[in-house]
Amino acid sequence: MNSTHLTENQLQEYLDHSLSNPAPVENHLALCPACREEISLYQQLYRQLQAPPPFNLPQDFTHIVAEAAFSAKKSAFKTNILNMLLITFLTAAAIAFAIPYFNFQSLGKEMVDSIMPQINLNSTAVTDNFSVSPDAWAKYKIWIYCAAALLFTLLLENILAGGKLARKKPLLCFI
Amino acid sequence: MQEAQLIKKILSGDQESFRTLVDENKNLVASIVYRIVKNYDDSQDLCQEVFLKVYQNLASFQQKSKLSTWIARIAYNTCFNYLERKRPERLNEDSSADAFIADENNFTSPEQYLQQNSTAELIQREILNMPVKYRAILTLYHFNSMNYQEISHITGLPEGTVKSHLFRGRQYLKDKLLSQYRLEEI
Repeated sequence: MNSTHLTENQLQEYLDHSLSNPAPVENHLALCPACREEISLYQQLYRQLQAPPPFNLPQDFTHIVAEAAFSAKKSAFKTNILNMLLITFLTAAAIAFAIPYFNFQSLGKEMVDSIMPQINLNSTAVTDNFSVSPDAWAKYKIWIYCAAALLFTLLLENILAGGKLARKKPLLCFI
Repeated sequence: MQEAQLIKKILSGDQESFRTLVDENKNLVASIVYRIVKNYDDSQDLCQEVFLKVYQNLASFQQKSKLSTWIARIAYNTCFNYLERKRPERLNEDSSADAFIADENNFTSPEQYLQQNSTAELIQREILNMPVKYRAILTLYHFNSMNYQEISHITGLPEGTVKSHLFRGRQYLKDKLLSQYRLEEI
């Protein structure tokens, strides 16, 4: 090692303390002024590299960030609540809209009368308002099922995702 | 306070713990952001953006690395996204980085050298002239005292590439120092 100078990598590895055996490098440095000059430059460089960059955050940075984070969380929470209420309302509306089209005859007149007398298809008050021909019902029921299922899925997804869906796909939530 | 405890407290809504997290990591984030972005005004906004992301995504932190490494990775990615939006051409540097190190034209003129009144100023200026990945790696290793594995995790570069960027970056800066001293002797 004395016949040739230390390589750049050897000098840097020595200063990084990553050489498994630094003794040969130390021996060479003791005898070679050129390599001592090189390593002295590296030592200066290392000191400068450890200095902080010339950029300081303002004194109240922590306060600013904390306020921004907490207010963003509050606003996201409000948005989630509003979205969930809206979705719940839409789901309820879709189900209420769809229920009169179901064939309650098969459920038994008494049961339907006792539970939901106001929408019993045999009740004239309701059937007058909501009567739909079997053909029309067959034509549209698939879309009504789909809409109700979509809204219900969105509601569940939003609850399970802890409101993330509302943040990522707000338009989807407002369908 | 231990990291796991701190995270648990923040997730349970303890605002003071989040302030502690920001205080403990703001110098790390500031150094990465400034060295990558090189813009004083945008750096503060980006630092804030980084901590907001940390707050919003803390629940997804799996604690496989140190919290500071995870935060540094968010800072690194946030800065690169910013640069991508602002100056996409600067990111395409894998091929140009080699050319930069070898390019004699990157050396400042003797007159400029004499105007630089201290070694510290020279080094800080030359770091900012380096390709973005070089200056990020130098900052992470020397100022933030991170090892190759952590830097590899943050930058997404293989450890071998991290090491080679580090060595070549330092050699480049050492040569600049040497040139300055030779000029001063003249």
